[in-house]
Amino acid sequence: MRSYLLKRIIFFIPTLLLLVLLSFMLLHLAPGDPVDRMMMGPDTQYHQDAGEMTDQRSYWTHRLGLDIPLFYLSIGSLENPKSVFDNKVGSWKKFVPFLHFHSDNQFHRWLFGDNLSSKGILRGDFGISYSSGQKVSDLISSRIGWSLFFALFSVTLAYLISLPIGLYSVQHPESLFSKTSYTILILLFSLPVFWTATVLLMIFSNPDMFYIFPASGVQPAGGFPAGISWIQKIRMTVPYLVIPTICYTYSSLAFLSRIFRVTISDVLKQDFIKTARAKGLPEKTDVGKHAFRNTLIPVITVFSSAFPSAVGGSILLETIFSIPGMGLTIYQSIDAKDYPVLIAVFFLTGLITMAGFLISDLLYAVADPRISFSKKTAS
Amino acid sequence: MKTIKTVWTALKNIFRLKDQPLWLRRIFQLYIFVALFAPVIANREPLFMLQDGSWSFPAFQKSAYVIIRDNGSEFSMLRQAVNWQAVKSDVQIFAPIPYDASSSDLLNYNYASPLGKQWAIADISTSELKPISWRSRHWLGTTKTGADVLAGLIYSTRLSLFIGFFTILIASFIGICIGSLAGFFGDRTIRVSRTSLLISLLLVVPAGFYIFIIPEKIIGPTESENVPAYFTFLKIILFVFILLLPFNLRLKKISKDSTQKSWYIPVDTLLSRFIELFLSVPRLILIITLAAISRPSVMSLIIILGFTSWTGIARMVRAEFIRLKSTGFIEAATSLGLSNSRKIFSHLLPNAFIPVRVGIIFGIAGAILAEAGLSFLGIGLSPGTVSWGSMMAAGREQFSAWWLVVFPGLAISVLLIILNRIADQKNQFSQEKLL
Repeated sequence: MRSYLLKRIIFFIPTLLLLVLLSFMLLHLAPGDPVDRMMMGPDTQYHQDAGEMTDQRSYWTHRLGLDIPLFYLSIGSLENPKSVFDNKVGSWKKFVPFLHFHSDNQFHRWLFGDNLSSKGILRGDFGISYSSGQKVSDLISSRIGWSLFFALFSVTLAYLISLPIGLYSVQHPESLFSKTSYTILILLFSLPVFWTATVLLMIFSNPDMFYIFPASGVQPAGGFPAGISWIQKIRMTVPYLVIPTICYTYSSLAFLSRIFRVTISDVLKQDFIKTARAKGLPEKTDVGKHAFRNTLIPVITVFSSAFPSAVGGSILLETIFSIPGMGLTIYQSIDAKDYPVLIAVFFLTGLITMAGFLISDLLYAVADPRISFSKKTAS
Repeated sequence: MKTIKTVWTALKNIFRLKDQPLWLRRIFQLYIFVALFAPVIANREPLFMLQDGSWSFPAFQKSAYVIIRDNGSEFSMLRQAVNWQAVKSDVQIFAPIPYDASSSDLLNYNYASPLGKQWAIADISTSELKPISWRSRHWLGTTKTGADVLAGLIYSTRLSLFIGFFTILIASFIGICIGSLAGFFGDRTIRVSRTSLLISLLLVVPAGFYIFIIPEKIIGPTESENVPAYFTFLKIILFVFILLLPFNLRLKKISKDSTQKSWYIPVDTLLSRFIELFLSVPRLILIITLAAISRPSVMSLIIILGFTSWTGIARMVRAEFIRLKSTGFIEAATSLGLSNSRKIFSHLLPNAFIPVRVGIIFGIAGAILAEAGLSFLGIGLSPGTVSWGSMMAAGREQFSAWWLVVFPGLAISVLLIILNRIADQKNQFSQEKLL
């Protein structure tokens, strides 16, 4: 077990490095000049130290470190490492390739920070958002709460609903309920979630039809009235959460109950269940104790994917319902071409997914002692 | 010939509909038919026109100007400006739906309901209105600009299936290549001499310099923007080719003792890490990030979707290759002395198609869903493009126009249900032997 863990963590490092490189590449492949975008933003990052517009430009270029080389190594001509895009052709030295090394470069600063403003992504600093001038890490930490809430709440809810459905339909495979529930779940699985969300909004928060739930946001637009207790706050928030929760839940509901049905029926066919039945154990113990434990494995899989999807947020759903979570942040930063935010989310989701793979692999062994990793590493 | 036959049989089996119920087959064929013949089913221009004894096919002409005859005189008109219904002719045959996806009907703009009244001009001189005839009625209503929803649905079916098909073509090509490389060669098959590797590494600097930097320097930054995009692709191919050269050269004469020392290239581990990296980034975020930084167009969307959805297929092919390699018939092939390529192409690949089939169909469904989601958000396709997602997004602006949300949603849901069902039928199918 320990050697397996060690092996996984060692393999974790090159993958992480690749992820960092990929994120950095994407950040620099992004079209347009970040300085231009900062100057054209809605609230221009005007700095008092610099006066005119051109000075502002050079100030921000220097401040963001865009005037230094990109990476540790760069391929250039023998003559001058900085004149890669210089148009003059004259000296023979311009046609001789040379590998330059830069100790101070953008990648290094991005990782470890410069000594001025940023601390580097290794210490949790993803730079400054182009559009709002806010720190990206502050933005993310202020937005992640709702995404996390919806992701975890919906998975829990889906588990609590789909487990009884799965158990019942395995025990009574010919009943009307199990057949119809199967068909309905298959249908639900195929419906695009943004369509369902729009249709639900069209029916239940449309003044022409039924105006039961508010159409957007997660709390009253003007904020809560002053001096109310938290119970009243929750009561005022709940109507905003009903339709989003349904939409978040139903896709994982279909997935989970499909898997439950397969796993439970597989488990019930196995010898140890036969033994338990032969011993005369009540059906409740057979199913509840032995089969139930085996349903944990798909749940671990789904839970491990819930965390990364919380960071990424459900972009479509959060945009439709205007939930101030990560998904809406991503959408807004795409609109504003705010690449530092995008790349930060990209990097974080990758990191958390990889950690999730690792943790879920370990949890499989906890849930099912038959799974062992020592054999795997030996082979 | 055997190889081609077996691969072809496997390819045909990807979309095998024989086991499916009749209604499913018919609906699936309807989608394919609509996608293939969209310009004939819905078109603003007449398919056939007879004027003064001369006939023409305006819908199939591509010129920007068309020649119109009126009372013996001929004049050319901008194609977009012609009102074909008003052109005097002996015979005019229109498509079943006489509208384009984006042409606007100025009399029925601002969300004409499919159930409500729709108008047409009764007399051009007095511009009097009459209820529209059933022939040119908007059966599924119109959008805000007066574009016909049914025509939009037909063209977006074409677009979606096009994107789904070509995405999976790219994805399965990459996935099958990477998966079969990783699965077939494993970690301890390919050996390279250290000298070749060293020379290849040393070549990176001059090759990169002369291929990527010097041309840009010579022609200058302004002209280099006008260089076609596929030049970059050709440059990358040339670069890779040069780096692979040292492995093919006979280097024994250059250094005698160091060629004795060679390293294994852990192909499987490297490619599996690569797949894991791709898997660790949520697909939708990767797609959205890439779509946000690239120029919106159908081609770039296909490339983005294709390059992000090959991982499932690659993993399936790899697992299947590893499983098949230990079975008897590959051992037999090895002992008969068959070449690697023959083992891969005529024995392993056709057998690995069965699990890949599921991946391919889910891949098409995923690509179609991703495209709809992206165009719902307004990312990926250029703003004017009509697709299921963009129609639903338009319907979100006006909830009373339910037809803008319901019909595209139904179209995509039915397609996804069918694709999921086709992919699900693997059980009785996997029992059969393809060879």
